[in-house]
Amino acid sequence: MRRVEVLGPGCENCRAVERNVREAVMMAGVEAEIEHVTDARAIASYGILLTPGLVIDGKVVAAGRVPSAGDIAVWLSQ
Amino acid sequence: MDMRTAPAALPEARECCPTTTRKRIAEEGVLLVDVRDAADVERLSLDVPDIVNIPLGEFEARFAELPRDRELVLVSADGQDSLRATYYLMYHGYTRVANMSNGIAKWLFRGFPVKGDPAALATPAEGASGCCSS
Repeated sequence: MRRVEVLGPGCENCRAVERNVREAVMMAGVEAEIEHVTDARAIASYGILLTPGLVIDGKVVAAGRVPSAGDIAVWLSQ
Repeated sequence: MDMRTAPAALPEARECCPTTTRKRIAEEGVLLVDVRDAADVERLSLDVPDIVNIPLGEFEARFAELPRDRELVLVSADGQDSLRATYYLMYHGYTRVANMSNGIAKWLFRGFPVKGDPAALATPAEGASGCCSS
């Protein structure tokens, strides 16, 4: 089970990341627990300033941009 | 791929309302840090003696310009972007930082001095009536 966290206040870009994550989970064929983290302190605890951010299993894989479902699927497969 | 790992345990950020911020400017000489875009600052800025502008989009590259040995108060339109910048500085080891709660919207609500056009501030004063009353 992979743990995926989408970091951001809930803006359109954050929702786009979450959609791409769900698509990527299907593409990669993995099981994942997806959480949307909106708290500013929790987001900053990863050293992220610009959102949206994406964290997989505790590691920041993207910040300040919307990664594609394809990119996320690759990260989920690693 | 970005490889920052493991969340740091950050304490709750200190909040400082505009009234207290003004008092601290006069008594402690705090440095204000406005994180709005330069164009927004050009249209409207706080009329205080010591303030610098580092837009949020440049903050990661430029935050090291800020002194660690001085009290800093982060400022934005409504206090949300500045809260993120406050936590970012805390993540990087700054301890003498605070966020100006409710931002410039509340500063205006209090009638504190500004340069430029107050109408240029697009963000409404969310919770603007709930700050300290002094």
